[in-house]
Amino acid sequence: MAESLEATLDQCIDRLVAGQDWRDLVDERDERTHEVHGLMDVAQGLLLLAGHATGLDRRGRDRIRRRITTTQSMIRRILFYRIPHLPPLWLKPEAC
Amino acid sequence: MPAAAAGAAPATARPLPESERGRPTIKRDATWFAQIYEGTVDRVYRFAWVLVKDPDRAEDVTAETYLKAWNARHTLKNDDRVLSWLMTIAHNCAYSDLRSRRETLDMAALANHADTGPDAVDGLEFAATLEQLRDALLQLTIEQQQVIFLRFFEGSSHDEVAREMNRQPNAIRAIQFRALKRLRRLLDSEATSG
Repeated sequence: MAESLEATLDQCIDRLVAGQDWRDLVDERDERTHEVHGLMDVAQGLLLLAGHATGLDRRGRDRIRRRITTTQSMIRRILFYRIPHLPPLWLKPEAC
Repeated sequence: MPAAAAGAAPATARPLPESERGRPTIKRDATWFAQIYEGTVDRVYRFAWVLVKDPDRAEDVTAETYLKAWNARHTLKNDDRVLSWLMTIAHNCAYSDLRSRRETLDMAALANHADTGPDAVDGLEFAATLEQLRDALLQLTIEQQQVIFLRFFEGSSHDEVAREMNRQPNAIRAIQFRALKRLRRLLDSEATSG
């Protein structure tokens, strides 16, 4: 492990993400090996967690889009029509 | 033009920052926003899910993120960094959601996932470890969370993460290293206290 610990860890993570063995990148005689193994345990946990991440299906996307557009039009209505029977504020800016 | 008149230029006429000069101006209209939405919503949702731990709440946070992003679209400095910008907004929305709800963590969803293995007890322990990991993720800085998310959840290379976050690859390696070290410490302290 002549390279920096950060670079070695990064290469190990690349291997891990690609589903390959990363252990041969770590020199077992190096005193920092223990630290890399400890951090790779965390990295493996993160990858497992990523496997549990729920994706967004087409209906979820549409639901969120609807919520955004509905809220936007509501905000616009509030801005333009402060009180229903008065003219919109942009017609009478001095009223703001 | 007289110097006095030049000095009296309105505040909105500020020169573009260095990084923006020479770039074609992108009209930030509804079409632009719809394209951004289509291209990023999956990743923003997953990022929100990691932080708030619940699919429904992740949808709330995602919707709020895009609403805030639309209202603040003129603050986006670099169009190449849209995802990073949205993740920052999502992070803030998720944290305000967590602060406002302050519920005990719902482990049922993860436990159900993990309970498909041969040993239910192992499954629960496994779920608890993942839950601790998620809790620990909340204690990272926003920069660390972004790097971890892009690297492990999106499978991006450190060069891709560097481009997305407008940082040097070495800086990304350093952030990743510090993030993993912090997670390790948090998990270790959890193990000794629990």
